[in-house]
Amino acid sequence: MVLAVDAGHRRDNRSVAIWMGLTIIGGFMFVGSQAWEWYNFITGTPKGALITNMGEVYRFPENAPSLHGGAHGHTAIPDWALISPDHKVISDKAEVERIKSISKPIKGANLVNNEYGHPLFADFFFFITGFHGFHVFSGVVINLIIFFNVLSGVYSRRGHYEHIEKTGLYWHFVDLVWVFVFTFFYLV
Amino acid sequence: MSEHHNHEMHGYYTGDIHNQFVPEHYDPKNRSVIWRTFWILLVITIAEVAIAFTSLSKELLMFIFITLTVVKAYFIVAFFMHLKHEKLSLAYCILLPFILIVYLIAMSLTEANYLNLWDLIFK
Repeated sequence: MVLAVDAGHRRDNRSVAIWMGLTIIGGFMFVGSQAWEWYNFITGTPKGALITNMGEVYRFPENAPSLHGGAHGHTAIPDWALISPDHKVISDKAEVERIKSISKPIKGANLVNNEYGHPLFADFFFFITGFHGFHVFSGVVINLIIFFNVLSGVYSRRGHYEHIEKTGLYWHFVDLVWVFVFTFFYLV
Repeated sequence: MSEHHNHEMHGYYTGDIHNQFVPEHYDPKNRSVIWRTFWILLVITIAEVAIAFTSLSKELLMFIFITLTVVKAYFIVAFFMHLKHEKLSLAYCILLPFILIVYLIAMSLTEANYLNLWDLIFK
């Protein structure tokens, strides 16, 4: 995108078109990855998880995040064990049966349940990435309009490429938001 | 045509009714700055993902992530949104209100913790 803006400064219509085209492809790649991620997050794992009548989510060992380091080390976890919400292994058979008796199965993540953890995380995740993704999609649509304008020579006739700059500011603001979303939803 | 084109290379006509000619001061170094910014952002992001797999303490990880995020935000705003090349007063007008976001986050965290505090006290 910035390279398209830069090419606009040089009044280089061809380069503007190329960089705008690449920006649009990148935008579609982003939205596509997001769709794939949402699909998997909503579908969930084949086995799902258990939610107790207290609303605590217990996961099956094969679905739990790798319990590296810590007190557990790499000791084998029996496949009938459960993983508690605070990542502890529950391998006491009576306790597992007790949890099962007060639980119902859930699968995937949505606004009510989340088999991967706290339902609030799913709520915020869908809310924030949904709004961000929708803004990216609008950005792609705006970029497409600009792209076709560039191809039909609207800006070379006008003599300046200010529209590319404005679109670029929008695009990079959405980008700026993503930097924060990525940190707080994927890393932390 | 090409002669005419070369003549107006270093400026542009605004779209207003006066159609003023504005000198651009196009700097050929701009492109290398953009690519440099791109590589910096890419390296920081890869470093973030790599750090996420190390077994550092959660507090230290949070600190590193937030610091690196602010660094990335600086590069995007300064170079991709070219705030670095704007007048300082405009930059301050845009950046200073962000202090309110810190206040917003502090408030939201307090609010989000309310039920936990309630449980702690009354259960």
